[in-house]
Amino acid sequence: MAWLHTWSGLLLGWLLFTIFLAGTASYFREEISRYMRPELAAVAFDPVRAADAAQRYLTRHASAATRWSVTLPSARNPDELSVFWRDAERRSHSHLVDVRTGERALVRDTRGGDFFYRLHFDLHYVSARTARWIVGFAAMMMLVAIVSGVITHKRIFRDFFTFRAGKGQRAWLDAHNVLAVLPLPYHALITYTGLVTLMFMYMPWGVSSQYGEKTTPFFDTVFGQSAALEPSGDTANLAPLGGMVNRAQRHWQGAHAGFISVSNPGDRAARVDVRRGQGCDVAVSTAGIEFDHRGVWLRELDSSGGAARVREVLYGLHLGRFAPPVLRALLFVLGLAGTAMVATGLVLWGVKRSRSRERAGAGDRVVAVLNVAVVAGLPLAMAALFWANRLLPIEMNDRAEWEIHAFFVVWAGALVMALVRCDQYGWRRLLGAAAIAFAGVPLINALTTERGLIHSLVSGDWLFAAFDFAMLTIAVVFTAAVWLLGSRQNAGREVPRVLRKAEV
Amino acid sequence: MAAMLVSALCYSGLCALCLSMARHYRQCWSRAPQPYTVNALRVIGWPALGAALCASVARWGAGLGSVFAVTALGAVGLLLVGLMSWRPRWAVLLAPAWLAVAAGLLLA
Amino acid sequence: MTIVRIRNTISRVKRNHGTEYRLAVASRVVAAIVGGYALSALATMFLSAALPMAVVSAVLAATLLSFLMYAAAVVWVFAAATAGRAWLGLLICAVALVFGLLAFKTS
Repeated sequence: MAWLHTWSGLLLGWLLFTIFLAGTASYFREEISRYMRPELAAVAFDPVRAADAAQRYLTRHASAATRWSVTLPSARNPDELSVFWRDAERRSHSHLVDVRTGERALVRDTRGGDFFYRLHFDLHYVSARTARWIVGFAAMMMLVAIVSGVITHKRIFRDFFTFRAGKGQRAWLDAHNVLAVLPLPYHALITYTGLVTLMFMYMPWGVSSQYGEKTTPFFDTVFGQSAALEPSGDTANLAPLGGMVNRAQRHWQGAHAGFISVSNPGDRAARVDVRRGQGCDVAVSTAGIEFDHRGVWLRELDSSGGAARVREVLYGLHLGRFAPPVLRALLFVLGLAGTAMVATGLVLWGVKRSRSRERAGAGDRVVAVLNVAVVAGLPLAMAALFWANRLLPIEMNDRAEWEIHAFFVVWAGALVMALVRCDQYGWRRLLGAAAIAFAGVPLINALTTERGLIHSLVSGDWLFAAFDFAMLTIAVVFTAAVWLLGSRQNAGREVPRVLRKAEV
Repeated sequence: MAAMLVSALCYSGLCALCLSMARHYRQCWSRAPQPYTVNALRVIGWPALGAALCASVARWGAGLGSVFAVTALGAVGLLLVGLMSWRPRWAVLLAPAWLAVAAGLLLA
Repeated sequence: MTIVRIRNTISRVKRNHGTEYRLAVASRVVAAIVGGYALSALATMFLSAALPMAVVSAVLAATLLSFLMYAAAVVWVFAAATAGRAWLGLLICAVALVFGLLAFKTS
């Protein structure tokens, strides 16, 4: 059983580290997006006005589309209004609309915090389908690692609080145990609920065995949607969306609308589906109101049944959108703990193996190199993304994609550096680079935008100030890590063989 | 502030349970605990955790409240372990101090 | 005496690192990944039909439980005494589920 735990954890450890770190960063997805779009000035949160602005834009630019999708601003991100449609050639268009003018938002092209969110289940450079299967496999291995870890560590409560610092392998093991066991409910829940979010893709057999090919009625019930309509062919003006949003919000007693879906816009058979926003309840919301093209209330939509509610609660627990600021910060801390749990597991594996062999084998070197490249390289790449966001020319083509290329190029560079030196010096070098990179983010922000740290503090722009402070804090943490690793060497304390100067 | 109180109760409860283990008691006071001390610490510890859960549910309802309590427990526990391995006495002192601050904020 | 000791060491090393051992491990890995998935898929199909609730709820509940069943199957495969027993256990459960499914299809 210990064998199962070690191997299931190791083989996908680097992928799991990436998933955990990107996922943890996604707790602040909206905040990261706002930081990466400094041109967007703060706007008062008003879904009704946003809906009207979106309608103006879509009527002008997407009149031929059969379906409009509008993602309304949320309280945490009141200036981000995005619209989506497919044109006659099935090409997709996704634009940000300025809430105040109804025109295209004049903002730099960037994926913002959504990049980290997508990275943690869609990866990149592979199709979403492939990525989700890989991530699902990793999540399943993680679940097995958790279960087998609990079974292995039978006397789990004896070592519950034990952390013996500075004693080489023992310290890494203690750290791994503490980081794993104390937040165990969190890790188990995140892993399981992560699988639940994509469960219809991973385990479609229940649906297909009961519904065969005709799965639409099932999914309509689960997601609280009404059946699609064919367009009638007669044109008719669409009533103001803002009014419909207003009526829906009043019905929900203050809960905001989050999403609007318009099918057959401009047709007499148009249907407007106003969906409730997320975050009011632990469960994700599948509630919606359906209107016809004149704004007449047709019906209320929602999923039905206890099992559906269980799915929504589990899904909502994974996303964490319900969390108020303090709880969100705590979830972030536990997410970091999970990330550190994976990292300490990876380091521990390397340390343990190097002790039981006289010479470092080829496999050990692969582990050592990947450990450095991933654990130290990924944070470095994240900082590089923020650098690219500020430094790439605004008018560049495919700017959003190039920010992401910069992220991966820097990560590849970290791999090269790790190949050269994967011992303690190699760790210190990359961790030091990460420290410098993070410290540089507020600096570059101040140099390239008008929303530098001083300005944020003076004008009360607390989001930008907090973000800059967070970058500096992370830089301090990495600096401390570099210092700690150095002092261990100088103090002559037991240094695991794999971290000593690499034996050629 | 309810969040402070819930966290303080979680910390105190975990601290008490931690000290009820001989290994960690020795970290602080360099001697083994007496049997009645162990029992006393357990009697303090578990109800404190229960109180944290109750306070959390009372403030935020069953769903959000239980999520908050479990999350706080994990995060606060990590803090406790870190402190215990660095400065055990400070870790122990933090428990009543945090409770006092939380109580003060509530009454004020 | 030394010859006996050497023979014992060799057989111990063979047991832990020899081809037989590696084959057994590989067999368990395949059983866990492929066999476990197949078993949990069968169990999902069975529960979707068998659970005494509305079809939508039954399918949802079965699908939600499927990952836990998969994890349990994987743990079983590695906890079983031998690789052969692991496969046997999976097979017996699978056959039982198929019979159950057929029973529900005909009823």
